[in-house]
Amino acid sequence: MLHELSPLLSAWTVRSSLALSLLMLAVALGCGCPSGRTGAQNSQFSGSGAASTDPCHRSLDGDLRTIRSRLEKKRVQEARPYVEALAGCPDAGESFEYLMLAAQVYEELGELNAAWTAATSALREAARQGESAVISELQGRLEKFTEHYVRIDGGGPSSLAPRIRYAGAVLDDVTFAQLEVVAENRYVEFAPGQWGFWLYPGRYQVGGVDRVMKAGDSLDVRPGGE
Amino acid sequence: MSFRVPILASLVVCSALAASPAAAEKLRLVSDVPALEGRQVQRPVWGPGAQPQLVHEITDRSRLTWLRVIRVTGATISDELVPGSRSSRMESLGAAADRADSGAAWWDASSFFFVRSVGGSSSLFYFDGIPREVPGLSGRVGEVRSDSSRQRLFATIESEGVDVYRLSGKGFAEERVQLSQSPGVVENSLAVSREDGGIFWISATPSGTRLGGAAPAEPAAVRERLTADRLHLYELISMVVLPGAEGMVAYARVPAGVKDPELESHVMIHLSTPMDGRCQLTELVRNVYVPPGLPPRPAYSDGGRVLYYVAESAEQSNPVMRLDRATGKSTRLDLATHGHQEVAVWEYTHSGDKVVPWIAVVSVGDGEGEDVRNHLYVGPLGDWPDW
Repeated sequence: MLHELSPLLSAWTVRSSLALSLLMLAVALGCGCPSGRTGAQNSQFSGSGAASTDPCHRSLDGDLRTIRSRLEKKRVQEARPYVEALAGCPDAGESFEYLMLAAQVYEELGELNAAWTAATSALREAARQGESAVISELQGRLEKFTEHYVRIDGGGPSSLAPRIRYAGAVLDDVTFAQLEVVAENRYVEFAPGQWGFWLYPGRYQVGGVDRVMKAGDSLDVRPGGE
Repeated sequence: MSFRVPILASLVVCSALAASPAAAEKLRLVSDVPALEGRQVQRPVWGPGAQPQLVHEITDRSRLTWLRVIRVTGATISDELVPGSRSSRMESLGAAADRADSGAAWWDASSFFFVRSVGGSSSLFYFDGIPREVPGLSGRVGEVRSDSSRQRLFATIESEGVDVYRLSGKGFAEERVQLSQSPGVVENSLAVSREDGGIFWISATPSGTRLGGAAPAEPAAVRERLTADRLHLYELISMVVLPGAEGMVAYARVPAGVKDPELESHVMIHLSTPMDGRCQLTELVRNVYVPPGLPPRPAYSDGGRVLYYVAESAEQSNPVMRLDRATGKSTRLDLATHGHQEVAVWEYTHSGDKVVPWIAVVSVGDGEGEDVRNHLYVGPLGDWPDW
């Protein structure tokens, strides 16, 4: 019996092997990869699976876990692509957990104004959802800004930002980026109707005047404000 | 290392020399703060500016050191710790708590450079309210000094060996010029001349120390070995360049075996400004106390005419002495503190033209009689408004 089936078995084996090989080849070329993600693997973020042409269809919880993990391992640069991929997604915008993590990532990267915006957005969402413990934590974090950084009060988005130049001995990339935010008029809102910027402490030239600004200092450069 | 002295010994006044008037009561304890709980003070370094200010190290004896800045405004003393991180969140989580910040070198009245060692790395940082790492420097940084023009830094950097480098240009990374080229030798105790920006250093070799320098600070002017009669009898420890081309003052160790095999002592010597690579050496005082570890620099005022040092004397509780180089006479400062370890001096001006030296002493105890840690006392050696 077996010797009658043998040619049939052999043919079946060959066809199966061929199909399996074609399937493996398809996987290797990245077509139809069973990842649950839509679209092609468009790798704008390196190495991690953060890539997607439609990041808003990603698993929010999964990405938040990844961000937390990167923060715990002090690999904050690796957390940034996940934060940025989710920015603008409706689900993420209503998630105070995402906004709090975004604030942490941006603050550790020195992007103080983005961190402030994320933290205040998180506070609004937490208040809307009645999360009192989270509200308390966020308020504490926002107070730390006032203690640790320099606040510049300006006229708001409808007015020109003050001319600020770093005047110390070592201008690092992070301070340069902070001053770019100022130069590009990208105000943040401290409170309703109060606009300005956050900077690291240091020596700056503001409107042509050299100043040493320490942690906790504030400077009002609104027209008629000084 | 603290100097343990019984309390009663502090009441024994035993000085054959006259005390300077009205100095004792003006020193104030500035290290009885929570940040120093269980820790000690070392290496005070006065900074420039209109108001007295200094930076000192806080150590827990495990090689971890933090930096603290003290500023005096009238009768008020404020302080600031150099944080481990620029992020308030990371700082509250204890970021870089296991760091060793040291070697503070003032840049101007509001900022200074320092060396931060974390793990196996040793990098150059700048503090003007937050710590900023100087980018683009490869190799382990040992120490740093700035010149008075505030255009250049000098640093000892270990890459293939430890050598002296001049750093300048944008971010201090544009121009990196190697000044010393001495394999197997460790350069340290950089000292910069305010007059011509010349740089001098001590070279530690397996067979002793030697003096090197470059004036001006250019590779073509480097002398790896400056000579002086009897210099080989001393092991140089630390030094400073006096203003006004008055030469250099150094702490040195007289190795055992030269005078008495049983004894090793520390001295303070003067070296004249080199001419054709040669200095004149004068021994100024013997039995100087130099604390263990990284040594402090000699202290001076009055353009270098007056030097301050701690005399090694258990009976007199390591008094702080004032040497007038013009007369060669040492007098003991009448301080209420005892068990002195280090002294640092800088001159500040008030009322337009009144120059007053301010002194910082590291000494044992907090004045209450029970704490035997090294504490920091500061004050003017003269009248100062509101003090």
